[in-house]
Amino acid sequence: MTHPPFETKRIRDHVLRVSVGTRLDNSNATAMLELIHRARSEGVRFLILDCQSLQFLSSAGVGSILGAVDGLRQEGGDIILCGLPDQPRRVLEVLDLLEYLAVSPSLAEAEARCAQGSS
Amino acid sequence: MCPDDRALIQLTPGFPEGDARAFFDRLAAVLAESPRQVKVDCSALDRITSRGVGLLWKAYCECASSGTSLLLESPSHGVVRTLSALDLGAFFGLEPAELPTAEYRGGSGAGEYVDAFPATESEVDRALTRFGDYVRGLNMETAMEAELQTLFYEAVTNIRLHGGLTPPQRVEVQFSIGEHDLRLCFKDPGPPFDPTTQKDDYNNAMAAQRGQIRGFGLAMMRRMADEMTYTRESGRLNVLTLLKRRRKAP
Repeated sequence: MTHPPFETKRIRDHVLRVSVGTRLDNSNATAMLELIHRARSEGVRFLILDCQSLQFLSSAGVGSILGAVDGLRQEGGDIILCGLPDQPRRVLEVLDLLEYLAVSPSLAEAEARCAQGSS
Repeated sequence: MCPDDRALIQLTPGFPEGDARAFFDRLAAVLAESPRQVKVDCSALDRITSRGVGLLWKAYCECASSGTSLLLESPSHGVVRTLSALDLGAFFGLEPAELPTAEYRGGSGAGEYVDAFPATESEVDRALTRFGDYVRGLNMETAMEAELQTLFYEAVTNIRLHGGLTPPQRVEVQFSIGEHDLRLCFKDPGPPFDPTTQKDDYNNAMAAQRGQIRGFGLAMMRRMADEMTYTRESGRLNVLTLLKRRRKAP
């Protein structure tokens, strides 16, 4: 099943906000990974993944995030997950990723973390 | 009023959507006549939502406070299944003997869900939606609901990607609710594959350092299921069973 492309918004030069949509699974995990790599090549260091609408996160969806996070961190950036609902939160919890990944309760806090990290 | 001091109220298809107020108006009018028993005709419903269950329970309480019993008449398998899974069947006069044997096994409160579908991406999506609707109707705790849906998707997606199935071969899924546990059973006619023998070397930091993008599904299944067993049935079917123990209420 094809899902709509992710909506993105450049908040600052180094910060990109991505609306994840309702699902991040085998159908769109590769597209997410490509989006992150492309953003990185364009100078983005911080990605805020807005997960407020995310109803289902699969192992492939986890891979699209985990596969890119270390590269961004080595460049002083990060991926920040924002507004995680129950199912994706539980998936990250069982994989011991809730503390490994940066998680913010709100977009405002996520943006503040990016501002601190890039200053 | 029916004979023998009983009143009958009919539910319309889709209840409670657009029908809840009319239902309770009718119930109030019926209760004003102090019947001994109110029967609610459910023959128009093939299933019931959590909101519908809540409204039926409210009606049951209103009847009880008036000294009137409320019984369901002609409930479908779907309605019986949902109410039984919630241990509410007896309140509405549903006897275990009324449970359809094709869909229920294991005694009071135990239900079973069965589905079979081709291992294509779109069919897996549809099957997950069907299963999600079913599980939501059981009003489980949110974490359990999330884990069951995730286990379903990961197991079936693994079969879709690696099982080499071609139409008309299908994946069969059974979900059963027992007194102490929940069981998800997946059968597929693909080549033998025993996931329980695969090495579990998942490590979050190592995976990130390697830039790992695949191979998390089995780690998730192992951590979400309390037991995972595999058998090869009749030399032609992979049978993977995932068990989750029911948590006792605090």
